[in-house]
Amino acid sequence: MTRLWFAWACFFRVLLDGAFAGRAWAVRDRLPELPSAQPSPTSPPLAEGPTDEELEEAREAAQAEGRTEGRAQGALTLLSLLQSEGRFVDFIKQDITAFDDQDVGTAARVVHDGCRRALKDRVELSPILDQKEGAAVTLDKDADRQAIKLTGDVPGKAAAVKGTLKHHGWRAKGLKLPEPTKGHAHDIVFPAEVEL
Amino acid sequence: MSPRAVIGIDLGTTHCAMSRASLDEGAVAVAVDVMQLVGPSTVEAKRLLPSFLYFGAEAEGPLPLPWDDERTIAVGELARARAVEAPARVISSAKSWLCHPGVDRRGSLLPQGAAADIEAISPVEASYRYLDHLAESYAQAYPGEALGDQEIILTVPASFDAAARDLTVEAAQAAGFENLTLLEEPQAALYAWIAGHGSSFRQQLRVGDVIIVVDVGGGTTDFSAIAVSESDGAFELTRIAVGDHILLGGDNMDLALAHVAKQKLTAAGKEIDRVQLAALTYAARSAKERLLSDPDLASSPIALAARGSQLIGGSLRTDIAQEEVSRTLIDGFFPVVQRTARPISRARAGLTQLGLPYAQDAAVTRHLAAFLAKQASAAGGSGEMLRPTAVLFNGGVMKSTRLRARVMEVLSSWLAEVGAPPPRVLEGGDLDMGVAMGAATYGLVRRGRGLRIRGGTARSYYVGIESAVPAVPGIEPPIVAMCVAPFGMEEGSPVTVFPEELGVVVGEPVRFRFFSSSVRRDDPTGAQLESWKDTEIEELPPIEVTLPAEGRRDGDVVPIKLAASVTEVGTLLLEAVPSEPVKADERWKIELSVRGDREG
Repeated sequence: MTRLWFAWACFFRVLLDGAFAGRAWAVRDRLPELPSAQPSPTSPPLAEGPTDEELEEAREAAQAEGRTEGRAQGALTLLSLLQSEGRFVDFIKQDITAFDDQDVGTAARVVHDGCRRALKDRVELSPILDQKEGAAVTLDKDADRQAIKLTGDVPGKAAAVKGTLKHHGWRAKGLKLPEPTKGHAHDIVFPAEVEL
Repeated sequence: MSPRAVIGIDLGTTHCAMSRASLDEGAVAVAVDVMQLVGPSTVEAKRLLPSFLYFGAEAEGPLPLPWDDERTIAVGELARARAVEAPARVISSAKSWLCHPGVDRRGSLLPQGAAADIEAISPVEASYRYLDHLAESYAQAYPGEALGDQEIILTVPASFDAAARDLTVEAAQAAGFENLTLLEEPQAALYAWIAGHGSSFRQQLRVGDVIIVVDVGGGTTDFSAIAVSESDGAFELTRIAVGDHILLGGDNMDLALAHVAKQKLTAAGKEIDRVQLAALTYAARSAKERLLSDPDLASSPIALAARGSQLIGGSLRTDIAQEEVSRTLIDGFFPVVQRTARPISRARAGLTQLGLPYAQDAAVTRHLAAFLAKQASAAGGSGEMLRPTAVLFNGGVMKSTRLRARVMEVLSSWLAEVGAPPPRVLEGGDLDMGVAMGAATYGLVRRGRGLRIRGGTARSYYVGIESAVPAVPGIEPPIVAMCVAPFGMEEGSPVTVFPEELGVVVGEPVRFRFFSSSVRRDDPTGAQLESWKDTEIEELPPIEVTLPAEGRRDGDVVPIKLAASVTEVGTLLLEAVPSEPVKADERWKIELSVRGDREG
């Protein structure tokens, strides 16, 4: 009964109050996907068909595929961005051996300038450890082993260690990439150009 | 629907920006990023929206936006990139065309030299497209809250004339902005500065201060003067003077530097094409920023990518030296000049009328000297120049500390010559977003949350009436300029009615020559000037009124009086009021001409 009343109230607020509609929409977007395979108590039992486990597996496989595809698309967007702004792909694909350092240097400036611009404002990169490289560092027992890699005489058991900082590492915060719109071809990293 | 927020919109020559201040208690202005195409099918929300409009080619397919799959035009970053790649399909600097008195501003003239398949549009429609894009993007950022339902403060250059303001309003109304107010950009910059300092701004300003706002944006340079006074123990701010419209900005500077680099490449036997020149301009801009921010740097390298995929071996390399930046930018655009220096104007070739009336003198400091001299008595004092005590910088160009230092150096030397102390810099403004943020802040100020800048119209307006004298062949009858709208009219101030009766013919358009002055502060309505200095009064395109018959006979001469007021939006309204009305409250709007058919 309460739900009926609430649905009724929401119906009118969504219709009449734009801001409420916007908030409701945003909340709806954030809700986790309802397990669609779960038969509701009132729906008739399935006569035959996939079992719950099979459905679950199929859904997980589809989700995994979606994730892989999404990852690939994101990566291609980034590649496309580095190419359009900084000619990254051109640089990597060209055979560098025949050129002298001056030519390579000139091209490197193009790539450096443009790729820097492409990443600016889109991802915040900061060192993981603040100390100077070459400095002595002490890591306590439960230092984040994903963020800090130990090399050399690595102890088998978790323990506080002392060592020399070789590379300060990089941590990325919030990668913001351009969003594809309808008809976006992810495989086009950079279009061919024909001047008329 | 009643507004939930005030939206500040900076409709700039090269960039637009938007900010939002909720009407909830204690809210402040925040920037609203603008979703736009950054590639042919990728969108991104960015702080600034480049004021460029690209007409897609049919063969390319649509230019889809998240909210419209079938869009065939693009506004923003992609359009700016296409301006170089396919210039005949892109509109730029629409705002400069909007205030170009030499052309029909409602005429379909953009893009200039449009490709054959493009249906050209007017500067007004281009402005509408930018505003419409902002509205669409806003709807994405604030779902369910239409931009058109909010209170909108739209900024215009202080130097915009009455007709350009009318046209801006026309574009805004086309975009569905009903609750609209215009605000001058330099005032917006000061509102943003005040908001950025909280209540501590009172320690930075003193009664008697004359603040000049030096606003050098991508395409235009704009000066205003704002005085600080006191009334009943409370601070008062009054905008006392505005400068002329100067089409000179950062784009000119980047281009100048790009040409320096291009000359070096050409001298070394390298050819560069149009697209590469644009890339060079981009590279020159970053080199400029590096060199200006670090005076110890001797030079900054510039690498220009090959157009083909063979990057290594095909790219060109040159550099820009610190000395070239000093010579080209600092001494070229901000030279040390005397306070008596004036912008140099050359006689123009007959055909330049078709293009934009770019400033003929690129020296910002000479324009500044002219402004201060012209407004010498704006603060009430006498003397040969206005004496600013504080400077607020605005616009992307003024981000450079060396350019700011040069302006201060020149200004201080002029002031020392007239025995005045050097001015202070009002630090801490946001030079890109300041105008948009200040506009939203002004919306709150209007609701009583903060200090308001007063000022009213920055010009007085006159109609030209021919004297009744016997005709002499070859000699124009002398003109008397009669003041119809005095200086400093504010929104809501009483309508001023011009005492003299004029005769107009029913059913026929009647035109009056129209003049304005940014310095004659004391002419009351009805004042008659028989002679004036060219520097005091400038002629605008004529104004026009057509009296519909409505109970009168075509061809009858009807006596009318001219009435002037300032609308709530902030535009000048001139009306013809018949001396013998045939119905109650009869009056006709007088159109400010935007057709560019001014004689001479």
